[in-house]
Amino acid sequence: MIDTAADGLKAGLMGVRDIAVIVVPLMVVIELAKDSGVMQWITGRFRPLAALLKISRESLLPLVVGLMVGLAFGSGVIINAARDGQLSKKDRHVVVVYLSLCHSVFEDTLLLAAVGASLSWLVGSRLLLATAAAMLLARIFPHQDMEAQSQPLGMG
Amino acid sequence: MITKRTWVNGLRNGIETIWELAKVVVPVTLVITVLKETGWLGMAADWLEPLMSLLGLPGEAALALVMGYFVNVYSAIAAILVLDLTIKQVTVIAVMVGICHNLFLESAVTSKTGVKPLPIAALRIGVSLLAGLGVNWLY
Repeated sequence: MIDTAADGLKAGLMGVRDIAVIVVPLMVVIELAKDSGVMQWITGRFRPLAALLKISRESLLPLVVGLMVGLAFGSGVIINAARDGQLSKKDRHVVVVYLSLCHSVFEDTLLLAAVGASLSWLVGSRLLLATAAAMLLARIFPHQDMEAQSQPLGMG
Repeated sequence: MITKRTWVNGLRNGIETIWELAKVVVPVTLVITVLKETGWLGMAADWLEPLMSLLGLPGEAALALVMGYFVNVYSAIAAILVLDLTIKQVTVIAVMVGICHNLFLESAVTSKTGVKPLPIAALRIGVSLLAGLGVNWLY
């Protein structure tokens, strides 16, 4: 039991290390992209999606990062943006619903296609269902979220 | 404009994010490892067998889904490799696991954004099952 727990601890620490080597450079790249104007250009490409999901343009950054890099990374960007008070409660919920159903499209899709699954079914179904679920939530989410915008997060 | 502050902000954001994630990832990985070693995850696979025929999958494919849902995509892939499955069956499992995987860890991670983990986990399981039925029907 002690050995198992030690294995678990080791796996956890190694997992964090693996995330760290991607997430720290990623955060630097995001800051560089933001300050150089590149990010405005990328986010601009995704503006129709923000309109469809009824979320702020600021929400597109965590959405795009999560979609391409992964849920942990997207969540990290949400945590940072929310800390700066950029995302409303509705924005956070819609983005998390979208990303929970569809994230790391490159990595996950390639891994599962490698063992024989249909690539088009994998990508198509996830994008379609995540968009549908996020659109639905955006349309049923209570409207009083503008007041809740400055509400601090439980950051622990 | 890119200044020294840009680099400092990026590094600080990265380190703060890693710290928030580490506080979740390390304990959860430990618990999952213990659960796996005690054999409880294998018991869950047996329990889910009747559901598998609805998805056009053999009983033992429950292992791939359970491993995917509660551990991660890698363990589901390992299970897929061990089982004897058709391309259609692999696609059903892959779509389901692609939508819903690593539930404990990922729910804990997304909860750090202030979104409740249980509804998100329930949504993923629900959408995953619907997608599995859909792929089995339409493929």
